[in-house]
Amino acid sequence: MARRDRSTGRNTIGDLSDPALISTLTGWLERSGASALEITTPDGGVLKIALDAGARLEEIAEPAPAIPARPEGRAVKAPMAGLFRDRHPAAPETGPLAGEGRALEAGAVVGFVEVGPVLLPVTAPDAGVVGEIRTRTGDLIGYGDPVLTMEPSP
Amino acid sequence: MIEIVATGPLNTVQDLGRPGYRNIGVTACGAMDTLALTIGNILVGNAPDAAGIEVQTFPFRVRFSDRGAFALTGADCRATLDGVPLPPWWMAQARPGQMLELSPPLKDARAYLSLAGGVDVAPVMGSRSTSLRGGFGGVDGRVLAAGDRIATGAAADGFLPKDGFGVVPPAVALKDVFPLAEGGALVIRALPAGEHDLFGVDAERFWSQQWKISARSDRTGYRLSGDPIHPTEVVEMRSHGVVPGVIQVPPAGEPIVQMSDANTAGGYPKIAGVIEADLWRLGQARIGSLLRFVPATHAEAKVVETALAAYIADVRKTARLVRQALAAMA
Amino acid sequence: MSIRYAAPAAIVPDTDGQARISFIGTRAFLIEAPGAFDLPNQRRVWALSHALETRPDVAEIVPGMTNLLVILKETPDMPEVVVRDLQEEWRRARSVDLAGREIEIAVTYGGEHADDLPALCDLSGLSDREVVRIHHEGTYRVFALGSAPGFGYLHGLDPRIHMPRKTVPSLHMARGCVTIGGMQTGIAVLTGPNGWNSIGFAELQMFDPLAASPAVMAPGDTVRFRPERIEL
Repeated sequence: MARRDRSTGRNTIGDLSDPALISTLTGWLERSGASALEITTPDGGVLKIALDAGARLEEIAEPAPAIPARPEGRAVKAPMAGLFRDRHPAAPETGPLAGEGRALEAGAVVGFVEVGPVLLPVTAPDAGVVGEIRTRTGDLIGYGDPVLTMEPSP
Repeated sequence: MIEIVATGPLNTVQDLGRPGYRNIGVTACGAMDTLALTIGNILVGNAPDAAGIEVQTFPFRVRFSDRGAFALTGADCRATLDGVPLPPWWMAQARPGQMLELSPPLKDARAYLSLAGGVDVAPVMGSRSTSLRGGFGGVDGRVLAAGDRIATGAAADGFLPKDGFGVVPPAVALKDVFPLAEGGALVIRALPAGEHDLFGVDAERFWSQQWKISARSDRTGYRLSGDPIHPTEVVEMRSHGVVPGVIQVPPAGEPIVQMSDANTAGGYPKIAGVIEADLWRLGQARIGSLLRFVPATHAEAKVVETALAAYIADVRKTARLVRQALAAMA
Repeated sequence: MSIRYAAPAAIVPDTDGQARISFIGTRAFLIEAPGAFDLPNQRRVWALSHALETRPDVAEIVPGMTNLLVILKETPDMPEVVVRDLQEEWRRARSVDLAGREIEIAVTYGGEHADDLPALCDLSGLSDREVVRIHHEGTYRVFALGSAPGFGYLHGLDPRIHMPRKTVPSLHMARGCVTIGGMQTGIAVLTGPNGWNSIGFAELQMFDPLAASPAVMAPGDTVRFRPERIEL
């Protein structure tokens, strides 16, 4: 388990304002392959946002073929690499924000990408109905990976 | 600039407080949940000492006069911006004319509205915190009222994501460090204080029973109800300085925990003092909820403080990283 | 050079017992002087306060009535070492007298704000004129500030007019009331609930949050009350 334990109080993230680190990260995000989820800082610190990175990488490395080209479906994509959450971590008892068949407004939050302690929203670009869920909660996803597909409202 | 459209009776401008003047009788005040305010300031890129609005009574509605970023932290108030729900512990951008509405939280007690640039009121004795008792600080030393227009300072440069972002709330991220007792009582760690041993067997009953936060509780202090405890002898107490978290026992035997607006001096026998790192949780405890006090040591408190500081540092660094990365992609 | 030793009677012994040191939370340490509630003990507290002010680990010092609350910047790793250091500081603390200012306060004794004067007469067996005379003839020292912004605890009240605090506070005592609480006297700085006993009224504003020096009184100041009017 490579994910850091916050309760130990040990901060394993180095100085993230370091330009070299930012550049590394940005490059990684642009490639969006999510193949470099461990970021080593110049001082030897490591940012790890992966659960069991090796195994997960294989899953997400199976790329496009897994996405059926349903012409009417439009993918809702992850804004950044991290762990997908289908609901807010403070409300585990609620159901997923976007279940299959649910109608959503444009801009609705369908889930979150967890990057360390930070949560980024995954938002529906247009109004529509949730088609296929492509990512399970807890999965490691890369930038631009489809989280789910949306179909136009009937 | 925002305009307060509706507010409950006890909402005030608060920052991290006005310490350093207890020696002239000035209460520190400050947010009841300084952790939530700290995270809110990080989310909108403010300096740590920026002031926000502590919302503890509802409804609370504000209208944004200008475009601006804001963050909501602390109690989950099921906030909506022009009717669109916002996640808790979240930063978002408002457009001119948009209305932010907070509803009564289902758990926890206080929400914090942080505005990019911070609430721009004149600091008094180094702080923008409202001192209701002293009648200074915040907005004219008073609670907020409908119609108040609140100016903000200059927002920091830097990219804030259009769709907003948030944090894993500390109750989740730090759940191993801040556990709940069985039955949901809040576990509050405390060090025995000066008159602890005077309570004899009643001291054990202080630690062993669950206390309920009575309705006569506010930012000044929490009066606890339970099985009364009494010292075995009456001692002459000379007035001395106190800090928030001190647990005093007046003659009736039901303890009072002093909070952010605590008097600077006290004279009742004190049985214990809450560790500083647990005060933010106490600040979120609701009237009617249950507390259990657990004896702690300095070393144990230090572990909790370290975990808390690490969470804040982690949020600060990761938020900056994420903002920079999103800016690079935008 | 000759060294002159003070007369033995003026030496504050350093063997008169240890201070009592207790915790309030993890960062605050309360140091309580052993012995009487008197000026010599308070002078030693002032000396201790002065000695601790410059310590880099100290965030705040709050002198009380023959006691001192020290608030550290951080939770110490070894609180027992802090306690030992504070005990040593107390042992070393010699009586100092603060070069305070002299403050004269004009008072209307009796009148609409002197709600508790009759009760004090009953308690003391003195007439109202005697109570007023004894109060305004006294010379008081500001022992410490606290409880409310700028409120000075004044020591030196004649024992004949000591009066215990009320068990049920007055709900709306006015700012400016001249009050007696136990063996101390003071002037209410805020309108609100107050457990002290009011015998008069002073117009002086004791606190201005916007002033460079917000509190009128400071520890060590000498205070006298001038009877401007007596309404009995």
